[in-house]
Amino acid sequence: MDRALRRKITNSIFVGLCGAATLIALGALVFILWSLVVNGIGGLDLNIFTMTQPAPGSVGGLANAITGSIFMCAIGMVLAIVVGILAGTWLAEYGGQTPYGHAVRFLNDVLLSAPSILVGLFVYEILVRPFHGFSGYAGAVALALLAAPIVTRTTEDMLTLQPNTLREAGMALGAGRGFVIRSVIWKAAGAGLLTGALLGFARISGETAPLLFTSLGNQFFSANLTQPMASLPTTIFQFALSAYDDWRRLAWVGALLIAVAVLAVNTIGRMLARETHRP
Amino acid sequence: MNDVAPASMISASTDAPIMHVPPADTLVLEARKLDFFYGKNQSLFGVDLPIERNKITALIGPSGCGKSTLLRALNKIYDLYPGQQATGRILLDGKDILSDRGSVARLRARDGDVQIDPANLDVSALRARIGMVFQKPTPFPMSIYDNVAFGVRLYHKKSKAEMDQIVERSLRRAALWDEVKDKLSSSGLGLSGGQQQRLCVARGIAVEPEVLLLDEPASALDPVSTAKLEETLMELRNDFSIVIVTHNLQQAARISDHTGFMFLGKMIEFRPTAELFERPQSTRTRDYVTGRFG
Ligand SMILES: Nc1ncnc2c1ncn2[C@@H]1O[C@H](COP(=O)(O)OP(=O)(O)O)[C@@H](O)[C@H]1O
Ligand SMILES: [Mg+2]
Repeated sequence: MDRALRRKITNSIFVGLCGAATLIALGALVFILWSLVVNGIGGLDLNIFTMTQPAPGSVGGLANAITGSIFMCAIGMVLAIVVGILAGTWLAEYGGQTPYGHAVRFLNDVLLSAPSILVGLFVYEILVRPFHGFSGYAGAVALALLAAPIVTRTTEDMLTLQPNTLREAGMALGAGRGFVIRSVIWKAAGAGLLTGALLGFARISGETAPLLFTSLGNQFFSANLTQPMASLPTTIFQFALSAYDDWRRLAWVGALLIAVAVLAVNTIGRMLARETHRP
Repeated sequence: MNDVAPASMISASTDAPIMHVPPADTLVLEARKLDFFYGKNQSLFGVDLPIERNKITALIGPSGCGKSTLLRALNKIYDLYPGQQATGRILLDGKDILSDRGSVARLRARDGDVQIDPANLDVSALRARIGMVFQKPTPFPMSIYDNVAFGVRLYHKKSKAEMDQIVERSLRRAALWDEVKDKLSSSGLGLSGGQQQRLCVARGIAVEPEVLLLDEPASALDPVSTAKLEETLMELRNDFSIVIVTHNLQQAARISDHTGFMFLGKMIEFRPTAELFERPQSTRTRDYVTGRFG
């Protein structure tokens, strides 16, 4: 068999394998979304957003869980973005090559893949037990701990991608290093930084285990972050495993809501990034 | 500092440089006996470079001979990178700008008890007086207007009207105004390569530096953009002192008043441009300008 033919065959086998893998991944994704829609859409009505969770057999919604999730995700993301962007910037621009910098990067990578239940236990030990109670704050901190390593990592990668000449050009005009980073480099890496935040949000939006240890859950509506707080994942967990058909239906609706939220936030984020980056 | 340079580099040229130095009172910037180190690797060996006020000084020489290094020493941009060091003297208006403690100690260790007249500028203030344009255009991810205003805003609080004037004047001087005057608020990233490079020139001169350093500013540009940039530089000579590194010998011959030829980290010959190109004295210079190597 001549070389060209052999190369052609190897090539088409490889392309075929890649295509098959893509199909499998896409197929799984479509199947998940499909079952979410099929099982969840039927229960989706106004009550979901206006009523709190019902006793089995009566009418109700997910308002308490939705509010709790929004509160804890929002606070968690703010914390994660502040910490992650500052830490990532420090790694990329200042101390990343020092021994301390290498240690920080290593620990961050460890955190990146740490099982979320460990993070939940950790927050339980430092924020729940000492203060004698589950709280929304503890839940938000647990979520922040999960998202921050992702934001840190992405921030460092995206800033490292920016060419040195851009930094030098800023400093050659007489700007200080910090000013150049804030006004030029962050802007140049804007879309990348946003991606990091979106990845972080996608990670925490469905997390259940860390919340079970921290915010616990709450069958009533509560906007008090010092008290136990409901959230979509914990409610889904509770309802999906129950014996009641109407609770299980609500669990599907909750799962659909999370998927839609992640999709929507990602889409909007990408559109914003494209908008600000259009030359 | 005599243990750092590999012997092969020192023996590359033992003969003294041929220097035609303009009168001292015409100089705005001057490097004297400058050594430069990337960590342990020495890249400049006792380089002298006089920059005459309101003239264009060109630096030529084969790749890797230290032209960029010399330029980056002049405004201390190398300072960003730990491990990079300069030893020697760089005088801006007669005052030492290299006069931090480490470099003075190294200089005294090398040359004995040298008299230093420190300029006492912080590095940022120094860089505002010595502008720089890079090989690849470096527009900031912001509007054309904000690009030009960037450096000015760092040091001066200007009214909107004053800033408008500065931006227009800088863009005019960089020969870019007519092409962008209707889209000042659109992103600088949307311009063509040649326009981006002239935007960088406008941004650099908006802060009214005394010296403008350009490192192969035309190497990424097409011939038409190059010609435009050259024209711009000739105009700018009236207000600024310009140092340009170029690979293009015709370009050096066309636009510069003085030319320095560098080789393996040394200044071989520094003379008025016409003389250097027509009657090079060093055989190395002759070989290079007649295209025999490099
Ligand atoms: N960042 C760096 N680290 C180490 N060595 C460098 C660095 N930049 C340049 N050099 C070395 O310094 C010498 C001069 O380089 P450079 O000034 O860039 O030359 P030119 O601009 O004339 O082509 C070369 O030998 C090069 O390998
Ligand atoms: Mg160079």
